[in-house]
Amino acid sequence: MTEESHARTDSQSGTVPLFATPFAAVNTGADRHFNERLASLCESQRSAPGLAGPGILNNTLRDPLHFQGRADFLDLSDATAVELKRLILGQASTVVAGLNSIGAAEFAKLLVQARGWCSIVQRNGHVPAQHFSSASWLAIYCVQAGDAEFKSAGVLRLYERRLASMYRDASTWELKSPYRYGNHTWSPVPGWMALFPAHLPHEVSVVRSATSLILVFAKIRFMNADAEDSGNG
Amino acid sequence: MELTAAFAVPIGHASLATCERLNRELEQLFLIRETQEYRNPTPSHNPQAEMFESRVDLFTWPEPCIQELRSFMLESVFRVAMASSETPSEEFARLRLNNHTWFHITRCTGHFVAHNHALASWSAVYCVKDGTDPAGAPCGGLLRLFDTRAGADAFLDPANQRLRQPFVVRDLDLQLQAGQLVVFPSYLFHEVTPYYGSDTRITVASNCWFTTQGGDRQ
Repeated sequence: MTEESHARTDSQSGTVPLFATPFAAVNTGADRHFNERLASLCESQRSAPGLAGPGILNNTLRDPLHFQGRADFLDLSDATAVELKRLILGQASTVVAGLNSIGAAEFAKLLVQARGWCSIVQRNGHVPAQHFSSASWLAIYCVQAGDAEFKSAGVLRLYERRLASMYRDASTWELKSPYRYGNHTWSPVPGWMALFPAHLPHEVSVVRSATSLILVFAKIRFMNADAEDSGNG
Repeated sequence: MELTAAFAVPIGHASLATCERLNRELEQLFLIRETQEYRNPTPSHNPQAEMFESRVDLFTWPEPCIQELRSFMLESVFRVAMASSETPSEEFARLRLNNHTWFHITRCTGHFVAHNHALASWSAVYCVKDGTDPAGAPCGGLLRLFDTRAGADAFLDPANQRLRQPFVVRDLDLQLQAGQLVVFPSYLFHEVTPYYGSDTRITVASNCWFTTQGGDRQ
């Protein structure tokens, strides 16, 4: 059966995905020069004393080949950081608004809050499994990536968590997207951004390229303009 | 008021008291058989150069060291499964324990992605060689069992940020020592974090399922 005939069958049978998880990969349109400036800014954080985030300082089991910067990256006054914040939040707002049933005008009134940090992952380093509380969305912007020479190296991997995957038979072993079981991977490309719910466990797999992988993470949440800030983001 | 734990996950811990000789024999055997002939021909995940995965018929090998390990691992799985079950022990003892068992040899930066094991009820990992640094420097290679309650900590307030055991929402990181065995339900998602030691990390893993005597999988 071809993909085309599969699609027709789905349409005819009225099959729809239930309990689906949104994952967006967006081309922000940022160019090479912008990403080079951004990479320099991230590298300057790595070389500056006191700008490492808590992941490096407090947990010796974390990867020494992964530098995680402080969580005020999107609050820097540097013009490149300001532009990145505008890009990330603009794209995130567009994607999330499109997922909502509230009208565009109502959505536009929401306040958006974000905390961001940079990650520099050297060859053989990785970003360990993580997920985030008190935020609804996580954006991961790719500043710099090496060649996609090694399969499944340096990819963003979102973990499968559906325990119904435990019983498999010949009919469920090779389900097609979006019904298939298994982790989901995305290969970062400079200028592109991934967006997904912040509670989803994920990692960045071991980088094998000589070029460091540089990413900017942003925890994002939207607030009603008159809502009280719970202050734990 | 009574406070109880619900939805608990059984985790079995055991260790082989005098494991040096056995582990030495196992290590020698595994290193000799780290060859194409013994490599898993149908790996479930993308193979890496830094990790060797054997075929899953390890416990059919006749070598005494393998059979000694088989007895220890499968008896432990049996005990954990029986202790977790309401089935009467005399009835449980009549069940047949089936297994797929293999070994992993991991070198620097080798790892194994998050996964669970469909069509098995219990999984076990035995550590032949931990590969840890003698001076105690951290070198990864953790067996990480993921909390099944994904998303349960998405909203935190001051009252639920420091829940105590067994209520805390957190993954379980295990730095296995040589001779240590951990048994857990196969539905638990788990991974091995990148190993950054300069030696080798060697483990034996088993997926188990029970059938009635003479019966097949249901």
